[in-house]
Amino acid sequence: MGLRLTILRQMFWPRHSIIWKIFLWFWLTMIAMLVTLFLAFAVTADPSGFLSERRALIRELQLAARKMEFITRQSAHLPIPHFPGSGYFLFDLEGNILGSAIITEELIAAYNDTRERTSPTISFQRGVLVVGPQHITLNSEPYELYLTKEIPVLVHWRVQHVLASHWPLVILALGVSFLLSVLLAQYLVGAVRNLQRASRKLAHGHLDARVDSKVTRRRDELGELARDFDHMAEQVGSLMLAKERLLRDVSHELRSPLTRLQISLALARRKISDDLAEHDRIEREIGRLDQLISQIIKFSRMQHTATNMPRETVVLENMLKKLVDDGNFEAKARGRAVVFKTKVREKIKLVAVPEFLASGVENIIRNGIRFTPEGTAVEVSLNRDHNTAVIHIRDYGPGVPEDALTDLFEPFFRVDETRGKENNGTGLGMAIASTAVTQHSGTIIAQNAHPGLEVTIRLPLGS
Amino acid sequence: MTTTGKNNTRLLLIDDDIELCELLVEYLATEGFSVVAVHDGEAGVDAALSGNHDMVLLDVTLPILNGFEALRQIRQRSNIPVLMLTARGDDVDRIIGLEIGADDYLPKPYNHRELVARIKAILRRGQTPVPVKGGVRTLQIDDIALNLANREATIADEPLELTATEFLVLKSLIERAGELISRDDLTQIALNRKLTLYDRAIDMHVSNVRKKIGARPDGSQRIKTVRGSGYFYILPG
Repeated sequence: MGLRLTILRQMFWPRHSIIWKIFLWFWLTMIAMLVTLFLAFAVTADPSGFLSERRALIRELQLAARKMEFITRQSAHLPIPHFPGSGYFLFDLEGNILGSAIITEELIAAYNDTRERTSPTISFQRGVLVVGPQHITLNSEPYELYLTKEIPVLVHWRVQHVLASHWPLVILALGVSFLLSVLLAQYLVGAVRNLQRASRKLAHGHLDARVDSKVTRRRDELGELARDFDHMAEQVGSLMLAKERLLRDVSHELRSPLTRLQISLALARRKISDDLAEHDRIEREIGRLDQLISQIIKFSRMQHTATNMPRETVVLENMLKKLVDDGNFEAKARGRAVVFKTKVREKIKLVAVPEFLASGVENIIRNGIRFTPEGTAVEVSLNRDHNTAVIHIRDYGPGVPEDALTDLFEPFFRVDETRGKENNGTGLGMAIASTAVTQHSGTIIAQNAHPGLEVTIRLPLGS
Repeated sequence: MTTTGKNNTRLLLIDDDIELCELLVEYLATEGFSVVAVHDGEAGVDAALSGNHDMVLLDVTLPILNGFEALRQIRQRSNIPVLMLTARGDDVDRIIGLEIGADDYLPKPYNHRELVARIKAILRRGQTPVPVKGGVRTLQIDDIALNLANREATIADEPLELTATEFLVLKSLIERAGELISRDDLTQIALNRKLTLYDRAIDMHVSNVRKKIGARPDGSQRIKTVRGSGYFYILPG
């Protein structure tokens, strides 16, 4: 289902995507260019070059002439030629114009050129079209009829003409320009989207995120940008890795002296028969250092190897029971307890890296044991919410200030005011828990339960 | 062999950390072990095969021959118990070590008490006297025979090379053939310790045993895995 959604998302670009802007502007430009070209053509093209237009014009003139002849047969008055679509002018044989008052220079010039002709010809000057002469006889007197079309009329007439007889061409032009615009927008924006995807992945901590090679192969600025991005990602990645490696190497190196220290202490204890408080103190501090080092190593290992770790099916209930038992054993020594209060009847199974997941939950239980007051118990429960396993771990300690609840999962974060005195943890337990949960695509949140802190882990169970 | 008296158990420590070795030799002496330390893999193999030691503590990172290579050479000629000292959390090291035939492993940095406990566990396991029924000192199933007195095994009258741990695993599976033995119990018997969370040691040992004894002559398998709970030897016929 997730896959289908991404495909849909890729098919329908988001409303604010730049692809719409590029596409629309480009398409509009193409349409505007086509219209301008057509108008320029409509104004300047001499119709004598086009057979179909010539025929249409002459037919229009002849039709007007026949109409006038028909009208004069009905009444004795000489009609003023007035038909829609064109201007008509009637000359007598002496060259006087009848009726109409406004005569353009183009008409006079065309009249002078063509009056000797026997059949209508078309003259085209400065955008004005004159067709004539058409000889007609009205009331037994011979006359000559001329038709003119001035620019606005001519353009209108021509647009109608084209739309009526050449509409497939118009649709074809629109379609081709649409396709070209889409291609252009896709060509430009596809690369940008690809870059965006890579940078988002990088921001989410996937240090191996790189731009698609079909973008980096481009030789334009976008290709350059993509190559620069890859270079930057490489740098960021190696910096991060160097930081992690340093931490891990330091931790590894610290372990040998620590082991030697531990054995020296054991020997010292053997040699001095009295039990020295200092020895206990040294041993406790060594224990703390040991724990801190192993937590750092575990944390860094979790962040870098989880993807290559073998995954297996884990029965959550069994895992939690074991963790609760171990925790309870530890807690009992300090007058506290850990109890498992599951309400599930069916077995909840999950494919996971068992070691990491267990370690995550264990750290939260440990944390709870540290802060829950003597005589109380840390409560662990497991529920199923549709396709999600929900684990609650609750203590009865002082809780955490509201504004620190999200920072709780940061490495080495400490809430000094409330959790300072008793705090002998490493500062990594909650971060380890958070990493473990995130690596199983789950979420982890902490809430104050008044009294105490409740940590909720939600793990998707997969299909 | 059965005593735990002073300076009777001879350990071989193979670790390149010379200072640590000095300390360990001194400390383990106070626990009643006499320890010889060598600092590279080659010397380690020679010493382990000399027959002067009861048990080997083997580090993974060693000069000349690394720990795995050393273990491989030791296992070609000896079934001496080997405790592998691996880097903490390195599962691959752990699994390889067990696969080559280490008896158990201890992640570094180890606590000295844990080290002593683990050494003692390995040395003492299987020593609680098994009531010998009617003087029978051999266990027999299919074509496998286990001699409980000298801990030798044969399969189809050919000698079967098993480490001490593998011998114990196979022995308990055969003793209770047809019966499920839990991973907890098997760990307790073979390694003399508790099974910890996500501890794969016992599974590696069973897998090694399985490889060594192979299938029955008719091709059917001998040891059945019950996922997550344990193993049993399928009764013949």
